[in-house]
Amino acid sequence: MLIYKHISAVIALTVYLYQRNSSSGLDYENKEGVFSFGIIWSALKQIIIIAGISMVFSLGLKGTGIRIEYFIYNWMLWFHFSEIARSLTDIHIPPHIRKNSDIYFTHFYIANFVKTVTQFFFIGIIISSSLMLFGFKLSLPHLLIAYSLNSIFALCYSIVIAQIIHKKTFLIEMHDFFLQGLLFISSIIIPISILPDFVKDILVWNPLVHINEFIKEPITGIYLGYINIFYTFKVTAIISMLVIPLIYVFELQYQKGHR
Amino acid sequence: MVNEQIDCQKFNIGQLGNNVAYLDISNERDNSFLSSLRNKFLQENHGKLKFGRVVDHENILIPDITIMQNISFYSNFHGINSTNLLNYITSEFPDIKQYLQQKRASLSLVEWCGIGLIVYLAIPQNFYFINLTLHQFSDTKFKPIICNIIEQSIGSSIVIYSHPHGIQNIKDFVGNFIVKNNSDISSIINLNNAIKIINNEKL
Repeated sequence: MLIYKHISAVIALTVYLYQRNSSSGLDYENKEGVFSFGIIWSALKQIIIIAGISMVFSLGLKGTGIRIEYFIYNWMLWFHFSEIARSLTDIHIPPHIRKNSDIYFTHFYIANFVKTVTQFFFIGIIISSSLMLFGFKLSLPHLLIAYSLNSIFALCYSIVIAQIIHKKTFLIEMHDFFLQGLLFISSIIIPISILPDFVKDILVWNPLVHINEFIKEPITGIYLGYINIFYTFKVTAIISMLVIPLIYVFELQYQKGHR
Repeated sequence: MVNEQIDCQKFNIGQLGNNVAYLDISNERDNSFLSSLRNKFLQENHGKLKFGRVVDHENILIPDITIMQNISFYSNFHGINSTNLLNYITSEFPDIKQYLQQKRASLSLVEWCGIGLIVYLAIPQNFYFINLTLHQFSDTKFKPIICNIIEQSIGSSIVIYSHPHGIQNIKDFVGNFIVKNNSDISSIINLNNAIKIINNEKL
């Protein structure tokens, strides 16, 4: 019963977060109710950005072997990771939500995560359907594993970083810089395979490199010896042990500060 | 209240057990009073009774989504069917249809709080905690609707926290009063005794 109550709270907040972010003036009203195109648009604009960047890069880098059928997913996973990392490391709970004693910090945190994960899952479905429609061959199990792992790793990463940078403006700004840098060392724009060995030895410590290279494997047929998706699993499993205690710390701070 | 079964015992907490207004004659308003009271009740009856959140003009509804979305939010939140909730609200307050697609920015405070209170009271609870002044509804279309919903709330208790100056309007919503002066609390008294105490400002 208690679990049901918490699940209901998370569902309600997830829907609220979708509605809050949807553009006004895009609602279609009929006798049955209102259909919000704003929610669809918020997903569509991400697809346009991801598809646009992927096409520009893959066309611009023609001859370098980059292929759209994994490159677009590399970008999608990157946007997904950075969206979770940004939104969950610096959570601002609106006053009207904060003043609702039935809503816990954990509800809002999980709802934010669920909202981003479902939004990008929807984006992934649209991208995959479109690519398959154009005759591209995809490995859906690889994509699902990569997406799930990327989501869980992003959640674990965010909760640890949030504990360090929460409400510290300078550190939040530094984290934004770090994320921009991380894009260039996650084997998205620059594939790890073309880098010198001493750089490779450093970059393989980055779990995102393994996710991004993992989705390239079934397309290119090239399996790099230094790429191991289980490395990301292990790192995520280790960090995940901190997740519950850290969320509990946040919850205590929230209860102390707002109740 | 929307017609859904509340799986709990009939409440009777201390001397309360009915609609009551706390009239605070202290020099400083104690905004956390109802929260403390709710927490106390919650600890004593956890899992047995349903306690609504403490509402005021800031949290009665969510301002950045529409009234319809708010109804959907609170239905999801409390695990109630949103169509049932909307039907109940519409039956009590047919005018709500004109407000359903509006957000806080396009409504007056009275409209916002009035609709918010109707939505709040329509969700089945054993205890409701209202921290917003009900005086503002005295000459509005919301007063008879709110009174009607309160009358239908059999098995529920409404606890109101207010300044004493609105007692003549609050009496339309509740019949019992408790006068609070800092940490001193009177017993449950009727309207006439409450007026006497307020006029003498003694407990």
